[in-house]
Amino acid sequence: MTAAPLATGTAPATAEALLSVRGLTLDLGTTQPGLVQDVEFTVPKGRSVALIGESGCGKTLTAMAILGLLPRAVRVVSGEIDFAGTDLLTCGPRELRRIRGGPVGAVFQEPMSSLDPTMTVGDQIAEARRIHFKEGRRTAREHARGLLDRVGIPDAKRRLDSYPHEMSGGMQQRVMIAAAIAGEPRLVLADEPTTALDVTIQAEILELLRDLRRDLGLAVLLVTHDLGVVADFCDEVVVMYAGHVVEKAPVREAFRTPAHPYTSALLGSVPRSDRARTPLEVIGGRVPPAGSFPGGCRFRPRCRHAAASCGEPQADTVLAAGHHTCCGRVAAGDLTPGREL
Amino acid sequence: MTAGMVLRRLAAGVLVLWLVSVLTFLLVQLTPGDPAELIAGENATVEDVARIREQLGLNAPVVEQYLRWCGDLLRGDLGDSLFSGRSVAETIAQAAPATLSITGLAIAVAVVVGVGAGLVAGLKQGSWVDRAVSTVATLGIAMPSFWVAMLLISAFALSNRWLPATGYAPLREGLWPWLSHLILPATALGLATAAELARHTRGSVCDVLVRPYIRTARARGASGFWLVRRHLLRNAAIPVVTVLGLQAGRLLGGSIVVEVVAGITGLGTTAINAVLQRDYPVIQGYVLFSAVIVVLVNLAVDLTYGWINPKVRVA
Repeated sequence: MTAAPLATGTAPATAEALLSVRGLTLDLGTTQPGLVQDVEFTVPKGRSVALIGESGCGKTLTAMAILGLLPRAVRVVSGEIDFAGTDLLTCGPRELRRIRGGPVGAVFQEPMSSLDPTMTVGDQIAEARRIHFKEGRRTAREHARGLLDRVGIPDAKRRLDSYPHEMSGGMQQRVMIAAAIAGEPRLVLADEPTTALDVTIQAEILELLRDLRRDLGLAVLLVTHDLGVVADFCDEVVVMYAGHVVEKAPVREAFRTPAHPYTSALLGSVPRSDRARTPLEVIGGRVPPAGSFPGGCRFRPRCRHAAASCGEPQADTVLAAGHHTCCGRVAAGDLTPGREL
Repeated sequence: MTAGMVLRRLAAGVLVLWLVSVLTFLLVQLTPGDPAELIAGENATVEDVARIREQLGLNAPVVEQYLRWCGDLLRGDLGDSLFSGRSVAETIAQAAPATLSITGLAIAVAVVVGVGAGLVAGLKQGSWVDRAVSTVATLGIAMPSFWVAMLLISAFALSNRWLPATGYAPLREGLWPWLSHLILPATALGLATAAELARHTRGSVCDVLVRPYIRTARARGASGFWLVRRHLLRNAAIPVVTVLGLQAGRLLGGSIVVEVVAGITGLGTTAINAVLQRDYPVIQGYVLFSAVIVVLVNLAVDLTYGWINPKVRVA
């Protein structure tokens, strides 16, 4: 065990969990292995957790399961999603509706297609207030104006009556955020909130999210594949690969001493200024399609450290406070955590 | 929708009407041979033909004829029927209410039944309701309206004397007499359109339900009636309104068939008689009148787009 826990930026192990996902397994109702298998992580109160991985790794499905908005074809096989004492998987539709848009807000990628084109942004922001606080049109509209102000849209009063297509992508995403916090949430799920935006706008949106987090004491579950965003914004990282959680760590540990070959390969594939003029590493191959996941460690076919033991089911191993890996070779001491993994 | 847009649409409608007027006018000119002789028939005397030629103004140059015809048209004078001698405007004014009533009611039936069924089918996609709607809709499209009219009349007017079998009562005689004569023919006429609308509505609803903004709305806690009314209906309505606009013209023409079956003297029967008798002024009047109605319906559809879809308002 060489990974020393870092004192700074590390969540205290006792932080009270707001959301905990336990043993979440999703499949398509066939005999194929789960699209999401035994996923387990927690989001402590007021903290920010990143769910990262390549496209198709199950991170968005996991987020949708939390909101109870899985596509019809996807079936929950087992697991528990505990939000402030309510199991979202068994609580029933009424309770789920109370939580969605109320204590749990959501921001999605591509604000252009995620906002209703036929409704004014004012009405869309006011919607959560009208549904969850039973406010009348006028009161809700007044709140919506305040929220537009809060997310930094100038001339809020006039903008209330704009339609999404009359706004830029960055403004639309601000509207999405305003609508997500309208229900006074304690947790915001943000699914790739900056992916569809220009780089300069990305930074502004992150800045806004950071301010809101601080001012409102929000916990955030950020679903992303952008490691830059993670380093900038999050306290903890949950790395997913092909439906498995492969590593969980406080963000600085994950970046300094990744304890799973997949995490280290992900980090290696990000261009870095201190390694200019060196070839960028890539992860050979691609994520296998759901249904043809290999047994044991699902990253094995693409892993340069793969050994015979990797074909066995991999156990979750705690390396340090809050730092888990499911790489058996790291757990056994064959491999040393770090960026050269 | 801005005033400028409405004006542009209106101008386009006027252009269409002008084109129709030219074509309608040429209808008489393009008849092979001498239209006057053709109209007069085989046994006509030379005087008869000369009289008809004079009556139609066929002796003047074509352009002059057209300008004179247009001038009359703008004054509301569509000429006189060659057979009854009554003015065409009067003939159409007398026949139009029955046809417009049948068509209007058929559209109402189509919208209520078609959109309702399509909405339920789309919301309960894959359920037995959905399959039932699809099956009935296919049947509805396959069954010709005159046959449906005969079935309905035999079931509701002959076997059970709940409704009158034939005839028409103007609205001024009361709402029920008017409605009771129209229910069966209008239902028969509107059924195919209802089926068409049901299929489009279902498709549109299914399409909208998987859009990201519906997921966003659900994530805000919207569900059930709230979700349908505020997010689904408007977005799903756009393709349905297009289909409805196209169908409105078809229904106006299709009214002829059910008018005949239900024994109602409307525009359809008037037009058929005019065609059989080669009563050109009446045919011209009918074509122009239909064109005006279709242009108005399209204008209404365009305005509805703007109301439904804010993006159209700036386009």
